[in-house]
Amino acid sequence: MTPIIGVCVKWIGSQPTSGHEADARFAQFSASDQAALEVSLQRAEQQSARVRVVSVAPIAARSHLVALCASGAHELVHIAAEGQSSSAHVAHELAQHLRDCASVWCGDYSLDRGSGSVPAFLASTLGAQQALGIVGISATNNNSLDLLRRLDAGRREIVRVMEPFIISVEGSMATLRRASLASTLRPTANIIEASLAEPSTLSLGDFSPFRPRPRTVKAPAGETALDRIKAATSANSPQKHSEIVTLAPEDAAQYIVERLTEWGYLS
Amino acid sequence: MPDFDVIVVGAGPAGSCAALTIARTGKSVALIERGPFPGSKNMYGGVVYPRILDALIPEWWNEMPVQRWVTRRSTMLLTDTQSLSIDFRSDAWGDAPYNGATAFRPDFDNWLANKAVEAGATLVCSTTVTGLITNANGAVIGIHTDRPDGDLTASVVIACDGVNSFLAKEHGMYPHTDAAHFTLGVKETITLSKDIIDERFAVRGNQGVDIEILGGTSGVNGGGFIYTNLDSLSVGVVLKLPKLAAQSKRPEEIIAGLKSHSAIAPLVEGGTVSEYSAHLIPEAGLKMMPTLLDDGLLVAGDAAAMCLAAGIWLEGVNFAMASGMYAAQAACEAIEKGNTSAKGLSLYKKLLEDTFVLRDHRKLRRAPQLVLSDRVQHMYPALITSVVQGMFHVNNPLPKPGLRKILKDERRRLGIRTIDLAKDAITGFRSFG
Repeated sequence: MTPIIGVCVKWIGSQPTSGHEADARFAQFSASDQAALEVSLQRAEQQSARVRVVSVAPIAARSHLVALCASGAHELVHIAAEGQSSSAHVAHELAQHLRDCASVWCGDYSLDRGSGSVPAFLASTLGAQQALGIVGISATNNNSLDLLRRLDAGRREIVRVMEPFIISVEGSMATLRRASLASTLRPTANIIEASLAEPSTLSLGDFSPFRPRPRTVKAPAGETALDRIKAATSANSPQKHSEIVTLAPEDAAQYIVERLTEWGYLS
Repeated sequence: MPDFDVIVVGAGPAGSCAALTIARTGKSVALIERGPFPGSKNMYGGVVYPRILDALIPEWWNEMPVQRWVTRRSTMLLTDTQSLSIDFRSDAWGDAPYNGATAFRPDFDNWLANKAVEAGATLVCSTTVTGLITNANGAVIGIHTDRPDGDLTASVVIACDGVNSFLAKEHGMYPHTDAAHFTLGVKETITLSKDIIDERFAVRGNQGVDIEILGGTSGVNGGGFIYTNLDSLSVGVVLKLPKLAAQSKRPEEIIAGLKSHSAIAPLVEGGTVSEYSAHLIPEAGLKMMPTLLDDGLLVAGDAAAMCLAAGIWLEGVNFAMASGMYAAQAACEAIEKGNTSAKGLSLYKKLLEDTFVLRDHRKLRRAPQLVLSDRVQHMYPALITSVVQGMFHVNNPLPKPGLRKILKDERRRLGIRTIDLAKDAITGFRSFG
């Protein structure tokens, strides 16, 4: 059976501005979405796999999706949806068309500055491993990949993921190949049309961002303003530098929870 | 068997009219556009005269994307400290079947290209045509594009690839190009509220104004313009290339100079510059027109220098649409007769000769040179405005001078020779008369 590689892309039309409606002509896919497609096409060539592009997008996006797939994707699943939907709902709908995929590739940002949470919901729904912020592939094995992942402050780490996995790549990772004229004129991708199902009516109650209540803090002690600033910022307290702890994953999680509790972030 | 009956290069007004005409005959046509959508590469900010569309899209005015219908036309002469305006208004131009309209070409071109697509044309965007494919006899049989496997064949190629047409040049249809044949159009789009524009330009609803300006270009031969859009103005200058190159001011400084003129500043003040763009304009008319057809190839629109820059008439889009339509008719006839050689395509030349496209160019062939000459650009505006100032200036206790005396004195002061004045008057009369 031919393996299938899934790619999720998000189509963003121009945003309406005062007095001007949104204009589909200025619609785009993010550079990272395009990079995800290019990387998946390369991987498909290595594995003799098929590439399936899946997108929840308005009807107006169809021609753009077809043009994107002309780069070499074999299948396009267009889940038609006109309004906004929650990330969890979008991921649930995407997952219906990605269950048979060994890997799913996403861009790590969308042009509408979305929350970036769809890949996480998708990984949860599919029970797949997830890695995000990927800038390179350092090794390829049969059912696993060693991925170079960007961390803060210019640092990098290598993570190994096993199929099935969901990967979010950065736009710098690859440039999408140009579609041939023949495939632009006569698109060959098999188009599967679907509609966004109504979200589950099961209500989990209202959610809102956590806003801690203001609390009274004792004024810092000190003779001078400088002393008080030092006291308020704990500048005079002994600094605890970063520590390296090597633990099993379960113990590491427990350790993090304990430290956060100790520092007052968790109660 | 070619891939298409006809390939049209460029989805501007010429290309889209060509593709629309061909598609309606049932022939296969590919419309190749280098931008992500038709009009996306366009800098135009002027007036469109779409009368020619009557033949293609009945009652086009009900659906064409228009900013404002031009009901006021002004011609303004500027010196550093004076201005003289001739202002005309017609309410008839504000109702169907209308005359001219200001339009944003990204909207207008896109609308026209979609008409072609609805009729059956295949639109391919984001694709640049990089060259022509010819057979052993030199006849054009297709195009190369910048896409992988990007060759495409057709019985006829219509090049509507704009000013600086690389296809026409590649095929040797421009014997020589001269910078003096081009002007640089530079435009600012200035955002202002509709109410302010209505008030400053004395219009209401979707009425619009077209102001053409002679002078105000910091001594560089050319002209200026102001067009009203719905909630913005297109303000700019058109500058003769050799004159622009021979001095040190940059185009944006020249526009700034125009905007600061006492006659212009009150019209634009308080506006926000939301766009700045520049584009070459083929202004030499018949003098620079290339060979219009060859075996398997037709050239139309700006690519064929079909832009009329004759002072009081500044038109291009209507010439482009007509030439595209006629090129398509010639191509269809040639394909039906099975002869796409230059001889088989000769209907194109005949249609151009029989209609306004070449007739206007022929009649006004001397106009571009006259309008851009030093005397018309610098001396005559100064002469006319000084004469008018002399007429209206009250200098009591001296009595009013006669017009003949003012004219004579001013002509002498400006060093304008009678023979030059007479020569230009004859040229002007032969062109515009």
